[in-house]
Amino acid sequence: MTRVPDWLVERVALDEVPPASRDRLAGVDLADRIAAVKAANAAELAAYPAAPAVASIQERAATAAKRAAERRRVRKVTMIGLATSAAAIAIVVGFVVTRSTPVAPRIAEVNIDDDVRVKGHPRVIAFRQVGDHAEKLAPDTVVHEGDLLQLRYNAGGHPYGVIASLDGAGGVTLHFPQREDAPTAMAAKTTALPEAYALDNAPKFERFFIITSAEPIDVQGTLAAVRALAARPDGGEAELDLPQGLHQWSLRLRKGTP
Amino acid sequence: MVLRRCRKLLGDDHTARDAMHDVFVQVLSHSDALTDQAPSSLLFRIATNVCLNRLRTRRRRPEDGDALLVEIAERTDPAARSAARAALDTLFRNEPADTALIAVLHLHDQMTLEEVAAEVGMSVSGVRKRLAKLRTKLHSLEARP
Repeated sequence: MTRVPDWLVERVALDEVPPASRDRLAGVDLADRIAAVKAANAAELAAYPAAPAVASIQERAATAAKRAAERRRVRKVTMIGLATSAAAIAIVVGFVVTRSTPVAPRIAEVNIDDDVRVKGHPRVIAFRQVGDHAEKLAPDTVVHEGDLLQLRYNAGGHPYGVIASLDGAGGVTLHFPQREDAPTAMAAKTTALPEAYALDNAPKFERFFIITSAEPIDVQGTLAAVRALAARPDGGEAELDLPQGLHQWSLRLRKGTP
Repeated sequence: MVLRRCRKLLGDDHTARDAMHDVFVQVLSHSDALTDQAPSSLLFRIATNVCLNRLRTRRRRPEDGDALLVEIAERTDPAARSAARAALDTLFRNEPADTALIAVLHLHDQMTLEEVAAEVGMSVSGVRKRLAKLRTKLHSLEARP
């Protein structure tokens, strides 16, 4: 007889067996496994009381609700904008196109002190751990599998941003925000991302994009643009195909052989 | 139940706890549209989707393993194992989100087609077609040079 899967044991323990599963349970004794589920529940609650988790969840839910309201407001403003005169639209489009021009792909020498507000174009600054110190990486620096990278960003005065990377194997990674549904508000000063990254064995390059805007950014749409670039043969050099109003800049590192 | 589900799909405890919070945030955010029928099924489904979203955005490092997706590939077609490992990201990248959910429920959780259909609110034939399409896609990926 096939072993009853864990998910179905959970349903039995909660007395919520779906009709489509009832036949699978005929003649099966799950008493020990149900007891184990209940014991695990009790142990979990004893080790991690519910109150702090509930507080964290409520805080996240409040943030999500605020962000959803913000998105609705942006959509409303966009619709109003579409209804304005052609002359006004032309002015706005001209302004946006001008501001969307990519900046030169190089890292300027900047003060990376987190307490200093740094002006200039949005950029990602990568550091590699070498022994007990960090080495700042210039564009096209050769890096290797296993190198530990720490990223910092400067949003260049733009309030919202997304940071994602593309590697030579077509892998796309979201670095900021940490989740697709998290707010895209960026710090006003040069800021380190909370996690370091160990490079994998992807070949050719690692390319870090920072996409910024004056408005909240659609993270999923932005990741889709990076994935679309990943599918192209010139993914190591070409720009992302992004909606107007989004600024992009990238730092490319070369992958060396081990 | 939700935490166990997240642990099983994501692996490490810290990430699973964070994902568990996300599950309940989604429940709170969509509470107006939810019914109180079979809450365990709803939580299971939301947890699975939250975890799959995280797996999709996680960097593919060898140490990450992506054991869940590898398992799906292996169960889908053992003969295509090595190719499937290399093609998993491509396999799910452009598929509707619920295709990955269907694959996980059937191939990882061992739900029957009828159980999957009830879980995701589709017909049995619809589920069968999605799985067949996934297998076909795996074979075509395998055939790539």
